[in-house]
Formats: sequence, C-alpha cells, structure tokens
Amino acid sequence: MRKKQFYTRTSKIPIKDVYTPQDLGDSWNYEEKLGYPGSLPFTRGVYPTGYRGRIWTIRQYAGYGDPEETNNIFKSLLSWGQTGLSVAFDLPTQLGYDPDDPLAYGEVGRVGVSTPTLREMELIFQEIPLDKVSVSFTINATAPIILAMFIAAAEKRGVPISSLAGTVQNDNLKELTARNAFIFPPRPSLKTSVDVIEFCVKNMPKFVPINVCEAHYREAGASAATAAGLAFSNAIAYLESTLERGLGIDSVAPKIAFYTYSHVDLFEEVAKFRAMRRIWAKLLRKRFGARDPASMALKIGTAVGGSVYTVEEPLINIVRGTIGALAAVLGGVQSMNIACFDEAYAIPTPQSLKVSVRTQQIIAYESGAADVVDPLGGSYYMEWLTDEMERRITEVMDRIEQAGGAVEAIIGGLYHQMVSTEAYNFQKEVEKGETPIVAHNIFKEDGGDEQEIEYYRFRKETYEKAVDRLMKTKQNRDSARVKASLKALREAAESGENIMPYILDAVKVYATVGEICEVLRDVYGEYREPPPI
Amino acid sequence: MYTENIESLRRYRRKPKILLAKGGLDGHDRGLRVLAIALRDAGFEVVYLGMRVPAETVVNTAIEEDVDVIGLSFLSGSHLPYVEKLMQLLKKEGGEERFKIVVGGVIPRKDIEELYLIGVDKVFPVGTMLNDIISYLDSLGAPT
Repeated sequence: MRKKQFYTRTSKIPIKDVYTPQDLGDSWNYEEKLGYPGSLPFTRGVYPTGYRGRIWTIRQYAGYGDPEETNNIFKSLLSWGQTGLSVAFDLPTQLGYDPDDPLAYGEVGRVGVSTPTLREMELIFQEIPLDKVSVSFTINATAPIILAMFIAAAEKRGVPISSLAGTVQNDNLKELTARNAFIFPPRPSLKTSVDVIEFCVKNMPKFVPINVCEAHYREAGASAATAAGLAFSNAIAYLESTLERGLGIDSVAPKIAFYTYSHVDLFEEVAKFRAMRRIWAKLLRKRFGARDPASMALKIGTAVGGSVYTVEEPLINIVRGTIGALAAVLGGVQSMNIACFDEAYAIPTPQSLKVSVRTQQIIAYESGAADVVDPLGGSYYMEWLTDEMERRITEVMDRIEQAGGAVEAIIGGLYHQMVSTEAYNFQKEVEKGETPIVAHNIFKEDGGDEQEIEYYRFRKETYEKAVDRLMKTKQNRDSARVKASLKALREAAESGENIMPYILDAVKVYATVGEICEVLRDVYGEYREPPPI
Repeated sequence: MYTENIESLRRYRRKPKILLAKGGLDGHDRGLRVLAIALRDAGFEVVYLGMRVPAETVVNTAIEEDVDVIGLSFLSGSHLPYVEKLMQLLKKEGGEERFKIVVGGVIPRKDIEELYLIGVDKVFPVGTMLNDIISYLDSLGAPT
C-alpha cells in the first residue's frame, strides 16, 4: 500500500479501496437521490439531454490594459470558436479608482482592461454583435457601474436592454471574505448586489444578475465542501434580501447562477457539482417555497483555478487544466474557463488562451465525455461520495446559520477563520509531502522553475494612454450634467433607493468610475478586512 | 549606522520582527495570511498591515514599530513600480540599510534580478515553502 489511509484531496473525506451497493445502504432510492436529468432533484444535471443539444459555453477570462487590445483578443477568441466572452478588468476599475488616482499607481491595466468611463466600454465591444454574444463581467463592488456602461454602450448602438445576454458576478459577500476586491462594509455591499439583482429581474430577461461564488473560497484555500457551504450561505442572504423588496421567489431564483472552481481530484469535484444541484433544489423548494422547477435548477459556471498550477514545469499545467475541465464536464456545468498554463507567471498570452480554448474543444468533440448525460451516475463510489459531499456542505451551512447567517458570520470573522485555517493546513500538508504536487514536492527537478516560456509583458504606454483618454473624455463631456447626475445619485444612495437607474444616468453623461465611487464611499463607508487568526 | 539593527540581531540571537503587507490594489492575500500564521507559530513577532497599503504607510509603520524586515507580497504585476517607490521613500528617510526587504508572489524571473538591483534583499516567488522563508528569517537572527 502506498498509504495507510486515502482521502479526497481537498475535503479530506476518508475513502475505501472499493465501493459496492452496501455502501449506499438499503434505503438509497434512485428517484429521491437522482431522478432524471432535467428534473428534480437535478442531481444528474439541469437539462434532459445534457450537452447533446449544445455544449457548455466556452468562455475564457481575458482582458488587456488597453480597450483596443482587449477588443482584438475578444475577436481572436471568437474566431477560435469560443462561444461567450468574459471580461477581465484592471484593479482600479474593480475598486472604483480612475487611472489618474494616486491609489491606482502601478495597477492601471495590469490584470485587465482599464475602464473608467463609457468611452472604454464602447471601444472594448467595437464590432462585436452585442445582441448575439453573451458577455460575462467579473465585476463586483463596481458591478452597478459596469453593468450600466454595458447597457449604455449597447443602447448607443441600437441594441435594446431587453436583448442583452450575459452576467455580472456581483457577489460582494465573497469579495469581503475571499476575493478581496471589496469597497463597502457588509451591509451596503449586500445592498448594492441586491440593487443589481432587482434591476435585472425587472428589466433584463436574458441577463444573469449574480454569480454566487464557490470559486474564490477555493483559491483562498478552503476545501470543496467548505467553499460550497459558504457560497450557499451567501446565496441565502441574497435571496432573503431580494425577497424583502417584494419580488416573488420564482421570478428571482431562476436568474441566479453559481460560479465554481474545479480542481484536480476528479471524483471529489464531480461529486461536489452533483451534490450542489441536489442541495439547491431542496433549499429552494423547502426553505423558499419555490414552485417553478426553473427556480430549483442550479446553473453552474466553472473554472479550473490557477491555485492548483505550479511555477515548476509550466507546460504540465495544461494536464492539470484538462483533468479539472473533464471533472466539470462530467459534473454537468454550463460554462467554463480553464486557467492558462502560464498563470504562475503573468496574465495569459493569446497563445496560452488558445490552448485553454482548444482543451475545452477536445473534451467536447473528441473525448466522448459530453455525449452521455451524467456518465458517472450509478457508480457506487460516485453516489456514496455525492451523499458525503452533500452532508459536509450542509454542515457548513448549518454552522453559518447558527452564527446568525452570512452577514453576521462575516462581521464576526467566522468566514476568514474557516478559510485561513484550511489554507494553512493545506500548505503544511504540502510541505510535509502528505499532499503530493508533481514537480513541486514530488519528482521535483533542480531548475524546474527555470523553464523559459513566453509570458505576457506589461507595456508602460498602457498607463499613459489610459490617462490621456480619460482627460479627453472629461474635456468633451457636459460637466454640469455630470455634476447633476452625481448629486441625484448621492440623494438616492442616502435614501436607500435602488441606485441602478441613477448610475445609468451618470455613466451616460460620462461620469467616471472614480467619481461615482467617491459618492458611494462617502455614503456607505469603507471596509477593512480582519487580520489573520 | 542603520546596519546596527541587523548586527544587533546577530549578537543577541533575537528573532527578527517582521512587517507584512500587500502593496497596490491586489487582493490575493492567501499567501500573506498563511505566512503570517506560520511566522507566529514559529515564534516571530509579526506586524500585519493587510492589503492595499500605500508605500508611505509601510515606511512609516516600519520605523514606528521598529521592525527588522519588511515583507511584501504582489500577485498583480505591480511589484516593480511599487518597490521602486518604496526604496525612494526609504532613502529619503535614511532607512535603506536599516530594513531587510523581502518580496514574494507572482514575480517573473526577469523581474527578480531587477528587484535585487534596486535593493531588495530576498525574493520568494510562488511555490516557495514556508520553511525556506522561516530558515531565511532565522538566519538573520543567527550569530555570525
């Protein structure tokens, strides 16, 4: 035996050498546990025919500092057969600072496209058919502003708001506790998320207003079970807060999607996806009294997360990406991004993005993994593990519930404590060699991290160009109208009204992300994360 | 004269006091948090400033708290402009020799050499084991 006891990689579930019908027990019931694909409890997937009608949306996360350069890579991605777009913004845009703000120093255009005004949004989508391509925006604290810019850019081109398809991440609770691109304290953070949800439910029938994220808890070091449990706890907070505004559960729940990460333990990840769908179906039916099956069908986007990649021998990350992606397909997800193999070096190059697109296409069209719905369903191990994941995820949800729900548990520091503890333990296991990582702590080669690959190099002109463009935009706009729109926004924010319509008015007259956030920071205040331990 | 601090560490075998911060706007703080816990477990005194800390705050706090090592983590690519600015501020305060500057995170190889050129004492790129960081910090406090 290689080891005395084997465990799943992240959730540390002890596993036996073989599974038989006895592990499921006499009470295990097919209809109750699985049902058919496309019907309750959706364990086997949300569509009756799986990927036979249409494969998942191939959606690589991309964005370069300059809007024109981002527009070019989007056109390339579409020409390679990608079926949706996913925009990466730079940190100043995500955190509400203009490129000329001293706090933005060194960060403008580094990890994504700089988008201080509607002008940049227009350039990003030049010649891209906004009524045909669905667009995903990884944007949270400034989601109301970016969504407003997208709507305004589309309207200027004659594309009506009702025909726009896509999604904004808009999950601010996980920003406060894992991804860290937060601005406001927990309660106003939740409030702005719900403003976007309410606005989209009323005005944008084809648009998903939130992606509740399991993903970033994984990257912050949480196990699959803990991450999913925290994400569901956040989802409960969003749903409850949205329902307080008088919307019905069956008009809100079908609009909510989840965003997850898929790591390299194939079976643990597949079991997680299946368990998550079953938990959601029960939660919506029992706790929220949903009637429409669409409310109970959990739509899942996923990415193979870069935290499983190594800086050593970067090309082998393509293999890790393939395994994680295969898990996501066997787990029945609706859209996918595979972190590029150069993740530990820099943001991706067009070449490394292309490898990720091609990996997805090989799984879709060559491997056969997409040809039968839930092909692992009925495996004794898979069904036992799905039950076990469900139990562990539900335990985490109960723990948060007992702490007073997501917002209270976040304020009390419980989320940070749970995630940091697991991150630290994982690192200790890696260093002791208990969690093997090829070329990193086993089969490590001297100089393995010196392999030369071409990685993306930031160009300094990006910063100057961004500032120049912003200056020109400011010179050409009607500053009286900007001032008036910001004043109206302040009053709306102070009164607790939904801020979306006011932000839409402000971006249309080219108010900047920085100007809008200055108003909101003033009204809502700013958050500081708790220290470790 | 500012080397006195490190010299005294060596004489008295005291463990160095460490400031940890993330510069710029990047929020990837898993590494920094894990390191903070590991250093405390290993008996180091840690001043944890968290994320989005301006270079001015790092310098002022390092002086006020009388730390021995400034540890900075970057994963968004802003390490060069940030550290350049930090070194200028340290020069102005006369503290460039007083502190050991340690940088970690996603740092491309080409930039590692550049960081050493502008005065960084040690770079720990992604994939570094906690034990290697702890050994390095312990070596600062060991007798010569």
